[in-house]
Amino acid sequence: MVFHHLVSNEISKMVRKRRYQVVLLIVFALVALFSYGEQQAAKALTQQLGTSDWHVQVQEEITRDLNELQSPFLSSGEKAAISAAIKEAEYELQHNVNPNAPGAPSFMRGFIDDGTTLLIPMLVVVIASDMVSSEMSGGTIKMLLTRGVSRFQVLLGKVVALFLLVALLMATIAVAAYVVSGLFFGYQGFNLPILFGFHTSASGYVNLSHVYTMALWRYLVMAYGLGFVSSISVAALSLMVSTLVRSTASGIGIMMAALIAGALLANLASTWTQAKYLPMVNLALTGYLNGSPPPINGMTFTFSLADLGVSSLLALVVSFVVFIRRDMMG
Amino acid sequence: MPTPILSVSGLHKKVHGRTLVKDISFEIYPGEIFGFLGPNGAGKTTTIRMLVGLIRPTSGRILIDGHSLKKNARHAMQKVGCIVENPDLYPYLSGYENLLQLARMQGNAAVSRIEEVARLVRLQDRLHDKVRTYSLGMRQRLGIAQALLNRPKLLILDEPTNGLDPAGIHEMRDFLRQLAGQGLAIFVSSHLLAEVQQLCHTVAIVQNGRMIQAGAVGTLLASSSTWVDFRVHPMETALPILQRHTDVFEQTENSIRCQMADDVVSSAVSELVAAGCLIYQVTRQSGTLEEVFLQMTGGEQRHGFSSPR
Repeated sequence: MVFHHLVSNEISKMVRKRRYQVVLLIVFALVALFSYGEQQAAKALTQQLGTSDWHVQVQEEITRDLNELQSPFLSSGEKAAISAAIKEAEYELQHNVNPNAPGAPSFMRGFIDDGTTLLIPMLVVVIASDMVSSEMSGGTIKMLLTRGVSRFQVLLGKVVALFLLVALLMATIAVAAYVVSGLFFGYQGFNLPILFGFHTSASGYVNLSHVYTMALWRYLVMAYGLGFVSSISVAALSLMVSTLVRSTASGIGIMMAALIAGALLANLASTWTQAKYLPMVNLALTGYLNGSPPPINGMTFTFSLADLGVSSLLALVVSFVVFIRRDMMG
Repeated sequence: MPTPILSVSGLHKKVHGRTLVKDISFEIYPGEIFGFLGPNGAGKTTTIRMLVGLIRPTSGRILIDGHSLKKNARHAMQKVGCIVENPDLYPYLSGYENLLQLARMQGNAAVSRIEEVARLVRLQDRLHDKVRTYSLGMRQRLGIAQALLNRPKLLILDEPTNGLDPAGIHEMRDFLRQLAGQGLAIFVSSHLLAEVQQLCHTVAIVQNGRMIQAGAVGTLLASSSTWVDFRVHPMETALPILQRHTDVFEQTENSIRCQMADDVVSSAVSELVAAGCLIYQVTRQSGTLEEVFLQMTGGEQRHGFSSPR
């Protein structure tokens, strides 16, 4: 028995399942939907402003944000996000860098920035929650664990396969975002300059002293890389849930609830600072790249990375201990 | 005496303070078909799950071809092919892909045997169809095929004729006999008495997690019967003598069938000889496993004839 056979077994099982095919299909459908929506919104905006000059558009956005900032109903988190956005837009105007330059690469950037908190984790959950629980509920675990291969190796094969499948999912997202949105916006723009290095605090204060321009493709490499990192930790957490519950449906339910709770907490609980230790609150690693304020005071890039790393590792340890020790009753 | 392929001693399983299996011990030798007989819920499947390492025994020892399942599970399980409960396979893969998945875990020798085992269970024509489309009988056969991939020395089958039609049952029985003839040791669990009686050489009867009887099927059957046939001459002399030894008897054309225990048989025979009867044959009728089973499990009230007098 060679270990890579275990990994390729797991990958071929998952790829042959309708579940995985559906997830990939969802990616393409969503990208097409968002591309169309964004195109329509841009058209409407041009019509409203009477010009397609981006300077005017950004200036109008600043004006709108300034007005919104006067609203008494804003939470401190929302206030921070708006005032950071204003600062960044002003800087972009000053340095003549178009943040909304049309093109497939810009769309890719928007998709990963918005997708890391909820959309991409959910797709990962759908894949990862199936890894162990489907073998339990389908009874195939009996065949798998009676072949003279240790349980440790069987689960390790699953973990490695899962990480590869998540990588494949990220690659699919990147390719789909590029190819499909290119139909709407054109394929140009990998070398567009973008501003990078906004240091934003949770209160909305933006430190501009480290800002520099960089080619968009470099940003995309970093953003999709970080998206992969947070997806891996979602995968590890889902795998743990999958070894603990027998049914895939309840596994997905538990993880979805956790993700949505994380997204809500990130928006609401800026006063409950202890929430920053929850892994779901730390998923938006790309936020640290594009200058969004962190959801909770005290969160930094290093903190989020460490938090995700530690919780993933714990989840894997729990998965292995439970999987190796558990009695496989009927 | 050859060494046993499977040796089980003092197997216990306790879950949440409830004893599921208690003190089970037996041995299976090459070429032997061993029946594990008991009603549903007697602990058969729990025992099987312990034999293949899915459940850890609370205490007891399992040796497979000399390897301890606890200490050297890898070597032990390389000698075993098994189906636990239903032959659950991946429905969205073809029969071939299922076998490939499982064979790859066991090495290249197993992979090269896929076609061979598929022919053996006569699935070669449907091998590339999805398992979703298979009948229960075909799944059962695919289950056997995957159990044979690694050339096991021990085959463990849980109710292997479940869901098969009469022709399929017959075929399965022949197939298992043939495998045993090639030296395989086969462990078969069943709740069907007739099946074990027809198929197995030895049997262990379990109830409530305990082994209540074990031994060669023939011996058990003979000991359970209380009917003895006397072929004697002249019948007229023999009949009153035998009548003094038993209340229950039937007379046929050339023999008298009586219900009596072994010690009564010997004293009856001496009296017959003393009375000058010619004794051609005295044979104890074979009982059925059902009788053994009911005797052992306290079901004799319903079969008054088999209670010892």
